[in-house]
Amino acid sequence: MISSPSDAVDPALHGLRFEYCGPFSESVIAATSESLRSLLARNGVDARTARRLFSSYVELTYNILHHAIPEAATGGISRPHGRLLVKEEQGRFRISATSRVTCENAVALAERLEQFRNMSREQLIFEYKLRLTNLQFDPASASANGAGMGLVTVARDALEPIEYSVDLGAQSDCLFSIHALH
Amino acid sequence: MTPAIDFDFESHRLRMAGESFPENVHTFYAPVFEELDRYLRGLEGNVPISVELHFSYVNSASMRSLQQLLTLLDTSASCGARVHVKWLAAADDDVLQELGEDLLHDKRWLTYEIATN
Repeated sequence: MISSPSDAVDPALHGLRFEYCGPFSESVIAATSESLRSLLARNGVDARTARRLFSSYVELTYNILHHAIPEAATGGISRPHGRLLVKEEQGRFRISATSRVTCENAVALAERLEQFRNMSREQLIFEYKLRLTNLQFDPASASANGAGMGLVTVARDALEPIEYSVDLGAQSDCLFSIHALH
Repeated sequence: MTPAIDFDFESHRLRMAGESFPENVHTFYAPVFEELDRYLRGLEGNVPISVELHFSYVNSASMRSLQQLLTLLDTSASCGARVHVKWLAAADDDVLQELGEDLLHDKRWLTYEIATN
């Protein structure tokens, strides 16, 4: 990549950047989230922001693990694939998670995120607390996904409304991205 | 990542510490709850039970398990067990302190404290 002189003074191009692209599993999430945490600490990111970024990273990677279409990797084992990018932009951090999902899944995810986008911070905190309380009364629906707690946690912690984008993929699937600012 | 679990049933001191974000929360916590449930059912007299929860991170899927754990303890307390939960969080970790309060404030029978270190 060739840098123009204007790039040299643009902090957005020289801030912290962390990226992982590839298959996801529990051990990959544990290892990459720990790398992110170390990077944030080394760069003096304040503890409050670092904790929220770490949390959003874990929630978004598990979202990929649960929703992404598995892709065959070396050795023939199919694992959900995705891309996680944390990028510093003028003193703030944008975290983006992208993966291939079924278009049916994309519609469901978009509906859920749209619901969160239309909520105020107070409403998001209320929604989060409500879901947390309801977990104890709803053992019958004990899915591993925590009753949609993950995305509401990301939306609650973000500085601005959570964003998403959907693109049509090559194989009748959808490329789904979620963005949050910290 | 799974937390360290140190249940000393003989001295009635139960402790969990560390980070909780396993891929399959149910697989990790189900045997823990089974053991705890067996212990609580076998309690005789109203011995004090000390529960210390000292997490450094809990993901959303693990929150369901913590709700179940605390509900189990609260039910036991409603039947006479003297359960005290100490929720420990780092002094600058408002998220974990709030989580402790959110999980514990509606428990009616056990007693609890939120402490920072």
